[in-house]
Amino acid sequence: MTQSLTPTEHVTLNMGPQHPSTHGVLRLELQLEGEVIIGCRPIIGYLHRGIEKIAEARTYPQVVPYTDRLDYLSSASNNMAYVQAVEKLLGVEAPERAKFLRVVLLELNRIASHLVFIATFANDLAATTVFLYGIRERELIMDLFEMWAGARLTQSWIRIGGVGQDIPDGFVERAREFCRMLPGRLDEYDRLLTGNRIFRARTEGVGILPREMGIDYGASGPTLRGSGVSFDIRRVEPYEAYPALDFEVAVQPACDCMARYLVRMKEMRESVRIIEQCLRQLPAGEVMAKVPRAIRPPAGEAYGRVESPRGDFGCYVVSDGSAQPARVHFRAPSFIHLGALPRMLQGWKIGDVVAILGSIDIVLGEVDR
Amino acid sequence: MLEALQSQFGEAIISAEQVGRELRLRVSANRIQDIARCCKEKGFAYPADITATDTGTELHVVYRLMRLETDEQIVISVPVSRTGGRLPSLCGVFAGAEWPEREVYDLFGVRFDGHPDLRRILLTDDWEGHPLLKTSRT
Amino acid sequence: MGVGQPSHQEGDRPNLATRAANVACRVPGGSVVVTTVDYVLNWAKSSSLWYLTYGLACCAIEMMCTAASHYDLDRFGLIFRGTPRQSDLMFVSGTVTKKMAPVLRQLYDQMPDPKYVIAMGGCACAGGPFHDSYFVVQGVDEIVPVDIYIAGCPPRPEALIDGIFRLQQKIHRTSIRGERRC
Repeated sequence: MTQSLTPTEHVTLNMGPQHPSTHGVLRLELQLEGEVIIGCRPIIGYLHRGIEKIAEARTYPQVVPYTDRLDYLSSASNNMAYVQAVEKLLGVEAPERAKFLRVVLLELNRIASHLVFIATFANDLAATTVFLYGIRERELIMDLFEMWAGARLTQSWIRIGGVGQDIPDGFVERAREFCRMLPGRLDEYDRLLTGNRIFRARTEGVGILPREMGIDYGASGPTLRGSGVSFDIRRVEPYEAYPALDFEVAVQPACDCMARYLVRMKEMRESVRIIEQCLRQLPAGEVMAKVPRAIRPPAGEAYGRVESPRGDFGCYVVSDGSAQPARVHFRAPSFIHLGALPRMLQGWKIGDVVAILGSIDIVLGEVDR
Repeated sequence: MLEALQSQFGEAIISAEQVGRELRLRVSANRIQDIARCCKEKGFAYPADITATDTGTELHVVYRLMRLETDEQIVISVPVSRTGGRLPSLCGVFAGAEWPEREVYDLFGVRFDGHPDLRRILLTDDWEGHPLLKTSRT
Repeated sequence: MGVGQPSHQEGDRPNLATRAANVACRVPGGSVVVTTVDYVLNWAKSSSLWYLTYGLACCAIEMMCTAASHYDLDRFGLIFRGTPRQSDLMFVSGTVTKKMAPVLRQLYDQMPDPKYVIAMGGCACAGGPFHDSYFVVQGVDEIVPVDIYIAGCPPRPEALIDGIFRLQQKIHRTSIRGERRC
């Protein structure tokens, strides 16, 4: 910091909780020296709904719709983590067809979530057109969800023992059509954004998250894969149909905002490959296992874990043998990443806050629970 | 891994069990910092989760550590009193312990000695009580 | 405070326009002028509702999708403004928690008159699925007066647009004479 003859003082600037670019109700108290950020205090809890406490007053199947509302941009991932934990406690395994359908739903959710990331990230950096393009593609995915699950956003379709219902006639053709169309649209985004000088100036070299710091904080998902760490739960601890599927884990070495953006772009293309494989290999059969009407898992604990679009999403369920869980805890990647945000913002200018915050792609529903 | 921990910390490890990929340990509160540091040195450098459960009689603070290369997990459960429970903070061992420990303090009332900034994180600053205790109403 | 009340409180001294309109109505032919003025003002107000992006939770995503090109709120005159000082309409989309409630009230107070509030989604209407939560306000009408309630979890974009139409109809029923003709 340069010494100046004019006396200066540190300014505290409050950003949020109502702000177009905080991606929800997040409040950042920024300490500024001129335009440079010397400190940041994130204040969360503005969306704390007490879901973990509510879950203790509901039966096991009744908790599933609440999990949708956590990371509401990819609700199937939350369903999956919770259902995985409960199925471990019950000793129940979903039928093969259900496993493949679950992967289709999870990957469609991943694409939808990453499209919102691109849309809002670009919108925050003032490329408003890309917002409209991203939502345009997302509407096609929401049409697929509506066709299958009846709901656009919070499907609650991954249930204990399988999937809500089988895919309707015509779903496979429409999904294949979508998969054929998407890579071309992603090329469009590449032309608009990836080579764009302004976008590159605002994201390359900005918001460095060093590899060791990322691991020490517990970062995961594209945030950590953008720092060169090849850690993907779908590879490391495969679940559902992932062991049978062939896909690449997107990793970038640069540790900056551009790296995290490139990881998500690549992941969308890989998700398309995964969906196409699943639709080709879809086995016949039931979509729901034989699960007792009243679900009372034996006493014990289990941890379900999925690779959500944000990272390592975990669900810790403790059962005391009754029909209601004794404890449900959600390990939210956005919560962990926000803990690392003050260190990531240090030394950057106020104009970079939006780029760095956007690049770690948080959703306040899962931060606050 | 279990042998290494048991030889070093012997009596502090109350019980141990391998369930699938998880090595589940119950340890006593006074050695949690040393045990966590030892795990980190042995490669379990990823602090996946820190949370707590209220069993009705006592609280269990649950730490989940992971080794990224091999995906082995160590789940350490530490029994703590329901009222006025105190534990040494792991902030000096894992940077990612700061926020989860604040959450456990906010929702359960467990104080972490040595935490740089122990205050409520989710609830309002003037909130009374700790909602996730079984004695608190829904 | 009451539900669906106009933005001025009971007992406020009526403003100049209202007093002038009431005087004009006693003059022969004056009521024709007043109703024409009403029509023009209401048409202007309802066709250009600038809304504050107040996305709290999942409903905010549906609000975003409604504002985007497929469903397009801009064709109804709705443009998002980031600051309450330039907005007429506040969509409360999502769950209101006890921590957020004072902020919501402050934003509402910062909006200039005439202002309208649409409670979007089950949580904003009445607490939604979080009816027994220790930290959720059971409906935003405990904090601000609400004009339109849109049910759903989350409501479809079409439902949101329907809610906006109903608000426009409600605005058309207002008058500068101060009384609401329902």
